[in-house]
Amino acid sequence: MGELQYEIKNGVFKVHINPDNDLSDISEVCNIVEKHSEVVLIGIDLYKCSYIQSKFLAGLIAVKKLAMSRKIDIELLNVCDQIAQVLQSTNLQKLFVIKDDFASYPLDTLFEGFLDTEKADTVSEYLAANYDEKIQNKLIEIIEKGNPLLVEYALLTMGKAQDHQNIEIYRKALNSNEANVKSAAILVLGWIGDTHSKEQLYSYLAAKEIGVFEAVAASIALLSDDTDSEKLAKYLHDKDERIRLVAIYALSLINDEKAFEYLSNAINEEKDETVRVQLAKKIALFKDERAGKILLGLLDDASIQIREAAASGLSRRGSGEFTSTLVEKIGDRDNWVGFFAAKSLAGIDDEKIIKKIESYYDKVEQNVKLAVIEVLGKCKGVDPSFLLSKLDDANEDIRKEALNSLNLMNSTVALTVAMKLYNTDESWLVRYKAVDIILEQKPVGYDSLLRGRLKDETNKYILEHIIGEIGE
Amino acid sequence: MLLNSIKINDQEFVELKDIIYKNSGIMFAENKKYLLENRLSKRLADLNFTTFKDYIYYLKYDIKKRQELDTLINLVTINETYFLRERGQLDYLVSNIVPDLIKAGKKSIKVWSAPCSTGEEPYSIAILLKNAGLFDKASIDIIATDINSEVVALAKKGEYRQASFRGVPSDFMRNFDVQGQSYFIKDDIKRHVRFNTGNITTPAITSLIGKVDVIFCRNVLIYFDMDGKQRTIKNFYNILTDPGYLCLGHSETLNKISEDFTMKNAGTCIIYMKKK
Amino acid sequence: MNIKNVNGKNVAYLEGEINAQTGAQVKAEINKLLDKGNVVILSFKSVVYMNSSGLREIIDLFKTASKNKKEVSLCDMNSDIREMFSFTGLDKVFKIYDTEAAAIG
Repeated sequence: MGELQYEIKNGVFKVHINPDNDLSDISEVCNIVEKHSEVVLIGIDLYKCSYIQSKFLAGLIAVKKLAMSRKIDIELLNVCDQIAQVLQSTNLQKLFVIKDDFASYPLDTLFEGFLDTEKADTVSEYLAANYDEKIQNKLIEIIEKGNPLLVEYALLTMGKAQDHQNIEIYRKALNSNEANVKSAAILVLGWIGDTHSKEQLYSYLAAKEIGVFEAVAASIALLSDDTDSEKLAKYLHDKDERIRLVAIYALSLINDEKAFEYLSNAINEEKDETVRVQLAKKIALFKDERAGKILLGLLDDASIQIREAAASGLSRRGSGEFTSTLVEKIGDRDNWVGFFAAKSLAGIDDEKIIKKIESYYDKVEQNVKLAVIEVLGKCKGVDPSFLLSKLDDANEDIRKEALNSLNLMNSTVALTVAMKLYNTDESWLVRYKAVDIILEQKPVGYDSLLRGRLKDETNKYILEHIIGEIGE
Repeated sequence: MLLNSIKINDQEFVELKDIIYKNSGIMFAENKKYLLENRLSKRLADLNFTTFKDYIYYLKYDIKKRQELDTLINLVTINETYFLRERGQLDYLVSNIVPDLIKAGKKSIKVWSAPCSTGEEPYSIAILLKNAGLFDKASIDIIATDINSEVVALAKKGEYRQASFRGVPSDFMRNFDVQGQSYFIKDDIKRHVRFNTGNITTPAITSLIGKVDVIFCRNVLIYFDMDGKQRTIKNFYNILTDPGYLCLGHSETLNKISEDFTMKNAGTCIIYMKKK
Repeated sequence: MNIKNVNGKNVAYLEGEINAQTGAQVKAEINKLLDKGNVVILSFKSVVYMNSSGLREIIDLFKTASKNKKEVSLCDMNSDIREMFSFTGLDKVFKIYDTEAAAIG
């Protein structure tokens, strides 16, 4: 029997298991939980264990049972491969949330995580959140050693930690030959607001440095003042379409009046379809009223892609003064324009317009029908009979969408319908939505209602959904 | 940089993973939501969609839905990998398995990497075998397959970026020609690997592959449901010679899936052997 | 800007457009909140437009907060706003939650 190492902080009870801990030690975990009512989360740290005995597993199950009865969450931390295999083969992994907890790692081991695609981001996040002099020194050491993958993450981590002190290191990394290191340095300098580096970023644009375009555009925008829109605008006419795209991104982020002028002129001059689509999308992000008018004009463009992008942009902005045009567009020959046009009408409360929207329903394709039903749920003063009539449509998505809209409009009516459809609808998509509504409102006896059909339910997603909420 | 800007909610997640499952056999677990967000956000934005629901309707109701389904499967089956990943089993192949097979009198040996993704695993195997001089001692074929036609094309091309080399030793880089930001695998490695498109869950794979001595199938079973796992392992059993070796990912096991293999401790890792 | 206290955490609901001017107002108000509490969650649910000047104010707010060991997290962004964060890599700097409930935890 070993000694049990643990600490309790802010309701988190963390136990560090040693290889010499045995069953009696794990039973001790239960005793400690009994004594400390403030515990809301148990973390069992297996960092030091490379194998696990079956007796110990029995102990874990006992802790899990206790945790469940007290509604305490439980996590297994730093589970090694061998133990993961044992847990999987005994089907126990489902009982526990399995996570990494970097607090148990020695610093040197932790940095190796930068090399692991799946871990690099979380390791970096952890280091930034716990940033101190020790971590700082280690990161600087890594940058000096020069392995590009490690340097990239070291820079990003220092930037995340808002380390302004080492700005010279980031500036120096701008000159790296490795695109990933350079990109990281560019982003970090943008985050910490180093306007001093802006000219160098422009030089990368001018030199057309492949691989760092996106980062350059993003950081120039973050570092911009009222002179930058003009400087960037000349790249809207660059021969290389990638450079033009990057300029569009940066200008849309700067989002000032000048940027708007340049982008709206560019859409008249630009010939390349991909670039025009991007222009249409980004113009939609300007609050300027003229943006809406431009998009409206693009709804009649010869290119189907431009028409759809314009309609999508308008639907994000809301219909506003263009309502009547957009209502007509529901019946557009391109059904995705109709789809986005319908969606743009959320928030309408005019009965006449609502009737007009409904009148398109029978004339349009399935996807537009779905958008019409969706948007009716977001309008005010809609007569529910239209939606109710769709609940026995032959198409499962129509029924599901009608139920969803009904719920947004009148949750009491929707609940009654949901309780019925949960028992009768043949489509699992509809039943899943019904379960969602029932669980959202939790009416009296909802758990026995849900449980009542469990044995007949054949769809595993619904079973998982219900069991996840109310237990087996 | 434009990863995961569109989030998927629970209902969208189950609907989309059902579509993916029915068309590829791959089952995304609850904790893999972020993978779908990361891999599909850009595609959704290209189609002007702001929610996954809109995209699901596109997959179901657009005239180009068949084509989009292929795009979807290709996007979600790209497995990010790197050279010498989970190196223990690779080393064991070179230091034990292949020498043992040669000692037992085998003249021709086949190793199968499935799924091979963008080729880092089969090329790693080829490089290690070459370094150990094993290509001179027997005729060794490396076969590599993936369900995703796009990654197979990339693997054949053999062009890599910095991100594919995570902590590899510097002499490993000898096997690549550097051009700007790109690293091209050299022809004397490339010629040892044969690439093909194929789905490991279907019986058709057995005739495509023929008999092999060693199978690497790492970090993919976790994406299948029990039925998919069992079908795959049955295929593997039929394809393996005797003795036959199967390498799974470090968090994967055959427990409850198949009784036809025994587990073997191989230094720092685990390898499964076909039962006689 | 509405502010609600949920489970001891302040949730601030940003609205409309986040630019240099409104961003600076947000910063001032949130800094006041952080004098009293340790955690503030910024909800972007009703934010329709944002530009880089507004984004800079949010970064500035974050900088001050982390210096004082306080926590500012963000939630409920539409895909356009979220794209601004991911394009600039700031999605890795901030803690961004999908929903308010997830942010409150």
